[in-house]
Amino acid sequence: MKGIIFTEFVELVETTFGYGVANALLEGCDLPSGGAYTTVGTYDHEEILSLVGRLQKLTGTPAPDLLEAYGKYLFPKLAEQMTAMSLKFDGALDLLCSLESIIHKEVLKLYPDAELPSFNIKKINAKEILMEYRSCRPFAHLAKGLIDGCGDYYQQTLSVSMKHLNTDTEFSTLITVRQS
Amino acid sequence: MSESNIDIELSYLRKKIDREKDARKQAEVLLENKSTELFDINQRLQEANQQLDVIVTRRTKALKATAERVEITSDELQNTVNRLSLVLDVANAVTWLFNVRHQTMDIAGKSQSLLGIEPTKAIPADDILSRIHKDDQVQLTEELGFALKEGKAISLRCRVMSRNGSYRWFLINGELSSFGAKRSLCVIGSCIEMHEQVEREREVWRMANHDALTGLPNRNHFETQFNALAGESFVSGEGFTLALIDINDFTQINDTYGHRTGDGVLQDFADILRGYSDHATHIARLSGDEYIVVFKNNIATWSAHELCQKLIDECATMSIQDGERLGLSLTMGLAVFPKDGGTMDDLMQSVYSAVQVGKQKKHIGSSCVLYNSSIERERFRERDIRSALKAAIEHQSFDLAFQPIMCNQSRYFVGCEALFRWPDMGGQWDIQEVIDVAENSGLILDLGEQVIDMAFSKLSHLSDMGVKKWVAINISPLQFQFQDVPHIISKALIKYNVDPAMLVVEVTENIFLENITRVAAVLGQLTKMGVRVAIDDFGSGYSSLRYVQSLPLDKIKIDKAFIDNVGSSAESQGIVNAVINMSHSMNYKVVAEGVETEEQLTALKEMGCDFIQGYLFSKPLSFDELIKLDDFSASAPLVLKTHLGRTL
Repeated sequence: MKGIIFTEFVELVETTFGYGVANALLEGCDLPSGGAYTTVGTYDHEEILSLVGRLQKLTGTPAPDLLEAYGKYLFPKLAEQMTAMSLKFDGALDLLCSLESIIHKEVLKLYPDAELPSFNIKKINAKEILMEYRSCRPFAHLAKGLIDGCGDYYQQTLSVSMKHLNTDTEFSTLITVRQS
Repeated sequence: MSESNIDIELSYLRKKIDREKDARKQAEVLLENKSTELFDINQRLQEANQQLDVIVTRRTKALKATAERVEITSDELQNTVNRLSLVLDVANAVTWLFNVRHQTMDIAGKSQSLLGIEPTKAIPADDILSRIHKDDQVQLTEELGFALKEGKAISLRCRVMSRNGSYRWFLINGELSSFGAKRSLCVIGSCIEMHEQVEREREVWRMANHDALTGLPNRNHFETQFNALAGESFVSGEGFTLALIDINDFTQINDTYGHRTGDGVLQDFADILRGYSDHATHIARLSGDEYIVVFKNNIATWSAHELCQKLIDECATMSIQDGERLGLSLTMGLAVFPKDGGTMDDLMQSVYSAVQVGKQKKHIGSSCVLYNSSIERERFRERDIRSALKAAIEHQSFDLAFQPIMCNQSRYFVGCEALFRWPDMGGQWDIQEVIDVAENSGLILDLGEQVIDMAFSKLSHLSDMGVKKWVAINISPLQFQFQDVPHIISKALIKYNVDPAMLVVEVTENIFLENITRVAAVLGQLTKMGVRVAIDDFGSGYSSLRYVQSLPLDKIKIDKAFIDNVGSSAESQGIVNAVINMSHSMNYKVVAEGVETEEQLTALKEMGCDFIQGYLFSKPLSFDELIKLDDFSASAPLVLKTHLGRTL
């Protein structure tokens, strides 16, 4: 998992919960990286799961809510990179529909070793899409937070519902996005 | 904020600084790695770039080479096109393409100067066809049809209207092909001007097939034409009449008036013949004085005969130089195709036979003889004689008979005439008929040589016996014409070692029909050798005193026809007397032939005739009989008795 996910997560914890919680979080997790993250580095996704799990205990906020909040916080950071990559979209749904066909392709060009989730996207109508999230990692809520962040970014109101279809070997979630 | 919280935060920040340091180191390592990676990538890119450059250079070179080849090919193509264009110009040719679908023609080349047509595309084919001579249009259309249906190549000569509106000859070649992206069906070809060549060929053909003097078709043309006419006749089932015309004694006209006048006469005669063109399909000059007229098949044979008679009348009085009138005597033969001959050779044989029959009467003037079966019988008879004669010459199965000749004054037998005999000759022929056939067929040449040899053999025998009496042998005019008679006799004189004075060569007046200068020279040669020359049958032919006077003669033998009437006809007697006197005046001796009665003998004696030959004294004898004749072998004068028993 790319370093930006970790650096931004730590920054979010520092900002939202203060250095004390951040210290307890990093000290309380036995992180192989020791919490020394750099945006250009790549780290085991287990570390973010450890961090989220520890934060849940420290703050009492459920992990899915933490991931969604993080996703929402993360999106504008990623959007900056998209701008740098000259990727432009008409709105939230346009961006989401292009996720697989354009954005992930560009990401793989920059980071050939990146392990990205797959999205099977179906356009229901002009205002509604169905996204099938499939990954070996349980980050469907991070995805939801990112979708919310996307709506905020384009200043569009999106209602996002999720239906988990996880199996023993794979995490799968149907995400319905409606623009109102 | 409590002090402990501050400591915690400070502790966190210190740890964060440490973590940031670690992270920076990680990032630096990463950057270093990425830098190395980028360097490697850059290296690889450079290598790839270099390889690409090599490939690009190679490809560029190859492209350049291809471009150069294309340029060269293009130049060569242009050169070829230029050469082709030059060749077309030099050859006075244009190329054409007939678009079958659109029925149009594209023309390229010197069409403007040759045909008055701008080199252009899509000219309606009918416009081009209208420029072809109407007599050639059908053939061209047919050939185009064959090319399209059967893929057969076109090659024909036809007349095409040229720029000035006149028709000129062109050779048109073409082949079925296709053109354009759609491979449309077309016929492509050339049109080469060959007017001069065709005209030359026609001139050469005209010269090869026409007589230069009269402008009439010649034998060659006649033979070609005959085959065509015969073919048409077989198809239509209608025959035709053919006339062969022979001008009698034409050499006399040349001799008398000169060749220039003779040529003029032939040209006038040809013009007269052309006047019969409406009735004839073909008129030709076969040789010097032989002409042929093929009558149209709607002209009945009797009509053809009438037309021939009309021609004879027309030629009876022809005007020659200075208005002088000349009667042209013709012998004409008529034969009908295919009745009298189904092939040219057979029909010509028939018509020649008819002319031969007419020739026998030429001394009484022109004649026109229609071929019939009796002539055919005669022809077969002649053929049989010819064939037997040929075999006899090969086997040398001839003999000689000798008729003694007596001196009218001394009553000695002074010589004899050797007469040709053929012991195995069929009973149905007579000896004169055989000699005529030998003369007509040319067999007389071989036969004559054998006769000379036999006569010399007997002369030698007589010489050995000490009998000094002359032997006369007959030499045919044909022998004088085609053989070196002095050479033959000279050889025989050496071979048999006899005195030339014992030989008398007898020639008939027909010899005068030959080149008289040459005849005089040959007779002069014989005289120089010591051989004596006699004119035989004098009075039966031309009896030209001019010739008789100018030739080196020794004797004149008066024809039996005059002798027959001596004693009974004052007129004949007068002629004989005149001949004797004339001959004596020229120092020639005279021999009377065919003396059979004492009245004739008495009269001839009174007229001073020098020698007598005839049954009155002796029939022709075999050599053995001759030498047994005391009168012949004796050298002293004897009292001769006639076989009638009277003492002379």
